[in-house]
Amino acid sequence: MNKVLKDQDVLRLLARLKNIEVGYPADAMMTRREMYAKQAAAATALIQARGNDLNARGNDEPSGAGVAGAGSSSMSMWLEAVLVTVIVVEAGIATYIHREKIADIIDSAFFPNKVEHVSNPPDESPSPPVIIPISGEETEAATTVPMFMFTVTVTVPATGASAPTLTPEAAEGTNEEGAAEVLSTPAPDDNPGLHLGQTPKPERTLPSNNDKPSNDDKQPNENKPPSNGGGNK
Amino acid sequence: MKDDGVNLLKAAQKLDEEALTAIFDSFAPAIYKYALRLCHDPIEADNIVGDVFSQLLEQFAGGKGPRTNLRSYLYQTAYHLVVDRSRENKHTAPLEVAINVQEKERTIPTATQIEERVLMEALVSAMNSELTDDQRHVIILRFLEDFSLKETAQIIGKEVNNVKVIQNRGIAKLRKALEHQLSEE
Repeated sequence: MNKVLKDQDVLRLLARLKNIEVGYPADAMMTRREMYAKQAAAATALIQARGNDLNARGNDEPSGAGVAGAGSSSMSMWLEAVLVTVIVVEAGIATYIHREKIADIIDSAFFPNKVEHVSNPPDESPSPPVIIPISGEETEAATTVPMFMFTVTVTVPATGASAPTLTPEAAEGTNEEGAAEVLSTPAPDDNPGLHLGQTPKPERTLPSNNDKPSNDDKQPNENKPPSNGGGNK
Repeated sequence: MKDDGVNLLKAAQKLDEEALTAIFDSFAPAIYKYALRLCHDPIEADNIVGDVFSQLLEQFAGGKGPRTNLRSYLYQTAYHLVVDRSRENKHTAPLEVAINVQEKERTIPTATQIEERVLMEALVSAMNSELTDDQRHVIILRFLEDFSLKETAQIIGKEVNNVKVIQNRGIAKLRKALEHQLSEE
């Protein structure tokens, strides 16, 4: 016997199986129900005890545990907002105070190969000219060019062995160009002993009116126009 | 009716004793039958009913629990309990307990009734031996407990399309098993 079934036949059998009543045994169900009722009563009592405890903590507020919990929650949120604000303000102040250090740190962190630029110092007025008196007389060149020129001309005789010396007279006779005439000791004659008085005396060259400056020594007045014969008209 | 269920659920969430007792009276027999179909043991089914409602109380006390579909939630809890216990202890008790309870009341079976009884026993045997666990759960929830595809998928934790595939394969297996049973006769 080879019978072919369809899916609908299976579903019909399942529907018949569903309609078969499987009753919960009455005694077992009553026992289970009593146990469940006890558990429910205990849970209800526990919840009520928690509610009374929260009411007592809420300073006898008539609003109940829920309102007290909501109040504490809003208070904690308010305190949290205040703390966050204070932290932000303090961080801002600290950043402003240490802004240069922070900028340096940022520069060193992000621009490690930075070339340091050194600015030139600001232009100042030229330093005052240095006046170095050479022989007690101020010259025009000394006021403009801080230069000290001193030329020494040494004349060494071929047979002399002594070192050249600069006599005071020669030093005083230094002209404006700085040249000085050095006179060496003349060669000794046959008398190797006393040479006193053998040194020739230099001629006296000072003029008679030494105290008064000559007309040639006068410097032309720069403010005055030159008066050389009435000028070119 | 639906509004009554919603009001009952809201009252139960506030741990109202009357609402909790009414929920037990409404769903305990169905959960027992479902558990008995799965584990084939009246004592085990009774224990599963007690565990299901104990967990419901714990969820309500913790401010959790179902918000909308209480029936689906209770079956889901029973399903997980049955699966956990079946992993610990594989029962091979016959599912014919339900059939035998009803058959004791019958005195004179007709030929048609005998044929149907044979088919029913073959069907129950195939459900126990041929189907996988998932197929058995889906077949029971879909055709013996009248859950929708979506609710069944929610209870066993699978996708709806997956439940469809499991259902079709389970029905095909049952059909082949019944054909084989009839061919032997």
